[in-house]
Amino acid sequence: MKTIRKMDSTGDTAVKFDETQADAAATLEARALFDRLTKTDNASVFTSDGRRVKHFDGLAEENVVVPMIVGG
Amino acid sequence: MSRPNNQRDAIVDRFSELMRRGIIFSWESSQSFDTGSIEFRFDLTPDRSRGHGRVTRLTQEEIYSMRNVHFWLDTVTEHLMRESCAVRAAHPELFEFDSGMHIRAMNDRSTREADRFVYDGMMFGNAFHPDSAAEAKAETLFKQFAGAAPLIILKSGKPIALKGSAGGQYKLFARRAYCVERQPDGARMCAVVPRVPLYDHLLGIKLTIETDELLFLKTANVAEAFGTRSIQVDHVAVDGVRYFGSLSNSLVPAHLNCRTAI
Repeated sequence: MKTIRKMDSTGDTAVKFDETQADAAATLEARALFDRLTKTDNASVFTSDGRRVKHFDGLAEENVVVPMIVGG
Repeated sequence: MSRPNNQRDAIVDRFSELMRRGIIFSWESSQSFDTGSIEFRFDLTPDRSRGHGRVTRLTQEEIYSMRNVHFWLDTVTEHLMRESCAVRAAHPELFEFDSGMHIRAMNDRSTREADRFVYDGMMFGNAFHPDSAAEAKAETLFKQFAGAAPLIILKSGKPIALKGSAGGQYKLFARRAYCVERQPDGARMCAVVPRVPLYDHLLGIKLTIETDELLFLKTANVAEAFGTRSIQVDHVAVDGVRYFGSLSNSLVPAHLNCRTAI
């Protein structure tokens, strides 16, 4: 079971999916979310050991999505 | 030459509106034969004999320029509103209780507060209106991805040390604006993760510096004291070559065309 935590105004929103079931609805939904966030929204995805992930298959058990940073 | 009617109408409309709103109680005007300027007298209290009048003048140049008349009207209105509030606060016995005015004032204030709340939300997320549940959730996430020790240090008000993926050294402070200081020069740098709680923002900045330092340098703005508004990576590289070139008094590769070092 893997988890993608997307940062937002409520703290974060978790999306969980079972990576062993590639065709499961939750996995497809998570993959679509990953693609949208990384390709369209330019967000960055990091694993819990601080590694940056650019492909869905490289996700670890716990992952966090950081929205695109902007100059302050 | 007479004043255009639209100017006169604008003035009469504005002062009538001020009377209707109870900011002034009467007003009158008179024109000077010498200078052509118009003098306006306003009474801020119902009883004219109490000496709470105000006088202002409209010069001839302002009279014949519509834009200046409007600017002047706005200035006078703001001044009268401020003065009226001050007189009402100092001499409440001179005024009858005006429930309509109180209701209008309360409506104005609540509208302003609501507008400000929406504006802050749009611009800064919950930065000015922290949601304690969201903040707690963000702290938990920070602890999970960065560890308990950095969280404790940040919450105690001290910075944590970061090492960038390209070798830079930074300090991260628990604040939203200018949360990063580059070491050793102490340049204050500002990049934010928009619309997230504080510790989500700090985690995002920490992970970005540790994995993609160049992206952070391209994005972050630098405090004005350091001359440039933003650090451009190519400038950092060229400046670095200039710096070391001048230190070692050696030649710099010609293609960099660094006049300072040569």
